[in-house]
Amino acid sequence: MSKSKPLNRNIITRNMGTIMSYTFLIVMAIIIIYPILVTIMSAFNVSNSLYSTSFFPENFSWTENFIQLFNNTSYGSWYFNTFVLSIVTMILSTVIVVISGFVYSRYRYQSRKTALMSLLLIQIVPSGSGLIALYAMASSIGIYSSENSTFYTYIFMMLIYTAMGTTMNTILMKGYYDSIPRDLDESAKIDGATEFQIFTEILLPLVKPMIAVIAIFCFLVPIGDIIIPKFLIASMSSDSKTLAVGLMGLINNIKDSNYNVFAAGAVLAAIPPVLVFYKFQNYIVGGLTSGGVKG
Amino acid sequence: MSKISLKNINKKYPNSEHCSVRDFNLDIEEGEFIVLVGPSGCGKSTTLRMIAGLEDITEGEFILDGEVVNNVSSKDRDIAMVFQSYALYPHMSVRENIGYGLKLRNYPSSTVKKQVDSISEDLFLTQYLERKPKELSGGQRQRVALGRAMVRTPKLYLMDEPLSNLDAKLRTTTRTEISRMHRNKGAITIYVTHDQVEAMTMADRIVLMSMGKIQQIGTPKELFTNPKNCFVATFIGMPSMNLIEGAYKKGKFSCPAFTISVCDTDRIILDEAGYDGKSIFLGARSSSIRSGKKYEQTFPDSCFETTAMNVEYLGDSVNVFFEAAPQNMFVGTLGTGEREVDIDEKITLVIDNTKLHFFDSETEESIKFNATKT
Repeated sequence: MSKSKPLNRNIITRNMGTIMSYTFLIVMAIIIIYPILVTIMSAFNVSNSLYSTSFFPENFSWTENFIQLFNNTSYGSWYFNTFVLSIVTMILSTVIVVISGFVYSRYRYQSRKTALMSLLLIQIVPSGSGLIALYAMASSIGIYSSENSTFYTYIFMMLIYTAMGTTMNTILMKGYYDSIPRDLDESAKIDGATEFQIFTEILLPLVKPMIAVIAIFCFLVPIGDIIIPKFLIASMSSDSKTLAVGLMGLINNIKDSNYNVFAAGAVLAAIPPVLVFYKFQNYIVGGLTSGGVKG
Repeated sequence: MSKISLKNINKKYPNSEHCSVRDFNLDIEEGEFIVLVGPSGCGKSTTLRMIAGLEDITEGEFILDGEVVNNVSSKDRDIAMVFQSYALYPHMSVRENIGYGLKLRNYPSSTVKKQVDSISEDLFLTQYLERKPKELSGGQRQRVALGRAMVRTPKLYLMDEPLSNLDAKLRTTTRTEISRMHRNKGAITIYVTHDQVEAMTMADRIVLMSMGKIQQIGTPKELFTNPKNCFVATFIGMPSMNLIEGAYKKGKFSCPAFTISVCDTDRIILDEAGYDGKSIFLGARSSSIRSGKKYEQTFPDSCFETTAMNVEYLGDSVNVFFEAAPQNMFVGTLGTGEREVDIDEKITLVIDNTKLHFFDSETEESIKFNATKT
């Protein structure tokens, strides 16, 4: 009997770490999941005001908000615009990052350190501070005076997002390449591989997890960003907006905002990123946690 | 069959002041097994990497089959290399790993398959061919790395401490394996290690390096019986050679623990070289320090009494440690049947004075080595 008491205490103290981390995780989960639930619930609630919305839908309807979304707004065009923008940005920046990370990691040349440092320095400047310059640039190359101004604006935005996506991600990618032992390159070299074959056949398959992570990062930026498209898209037509800007428009005005339609749009907009995350979740965890590749 | 010669090779890394490898000269005949050995940081791996083409040669010429190949890239030098870390491609199966070099050289896939199958049978890897490297044990990975090199028939094989990550038992068996493969293939093999046992057991010739310089090149026997300087003498052999500074006068060498007379041939060499009355280093291998009546009768002039400071029992022999001078432990290896000894016991030891080594006390060069050469 006398022995069991310290033993019990021991079990609690021994598992203290687990208990603490689970408590923390549960609290974090509630904080994160609650707003998502509120959004999803209100997407199925037909009502006009956010303030009257209760957590559980009062006038439940599966479709009403979505029908309104597609009939009264150009939601389809927004969706199309945004994901084309996102996907092209993702492809462009991933290709650039994969190559530049390789070069920074594997080659030694004179301006290497300076270039890496400048990549870091660029991060210091908030991207919003360049907005006016971007606008001036867009207008000086004649985007707004051209006939197809919306199309060119989107191309312009693709380039901006690609540039934004390459800086930080190049550093991430370089770090990941660095974690692959150079012995592998050398071994392949002796086996008779060219530099290009070393890159494509040895290194690329090994950095796949990081490519997935970076692709997702780049994919998400244009979906979530509101400042750049709002600032740069000059056209007044509703068709030319991106999702973020379009949805924002739904709740911008206190008088005719419709929070439930907004919520429905937000839920739909969240589906592709969720699917992408779901598909690549193994890669993402692997890419973010595993450093070394053991031979 | 190929020949290699390295002429006045120097290597200097861009941001270091000193050369990592200095004035390296070596000619390798066809089919030789050369072991580069030395303490860490002595430049042996750098030398190997220069031969592999992974490092630039700062100065000097590397001649392969009569051609200077300093600027030929490693993929065109026709070499195979085994890395210390094995450097297996983690995303490829064992079969792909072994066959990669052949695939890159555009062999038809049926040939690749046949060769991989036969080499993996040799190395007992047949049942692991479809596994990834991370599903293999250390010894198996090592064999895959060997197989990857052996599947081709290059001009030379390079091995950079391939056994250092294996346990002692596996090391012995793999050592035999490598020697056997070398005999089968008959191509030049250059093997880097810091383990003198590996060097002694495998090499046709050993290149002993220290501080970027070659100390001595020779067969294992030459290095063991006729070391060129103190460094070679103490590096080769286990336990390492006992060294002590003492005075040599009229055929007698004396140091704090003992005074012994040197044998006649040594005496002539020492006297002729003008060391009479000077201070020199005496080197004695532990195997030439013995005990017992038999030895006392054979070498009556080199017996002395001392106290055993420590005793190591090794099964068929015993290591006895005693102080030859303050801060200088000597070790003698007594065979079975010789006198048994306890710690702190007085014991009479005998030095076999026909197997002694003498070194100049300033240059640390062997006196006998230079005398017999000239």
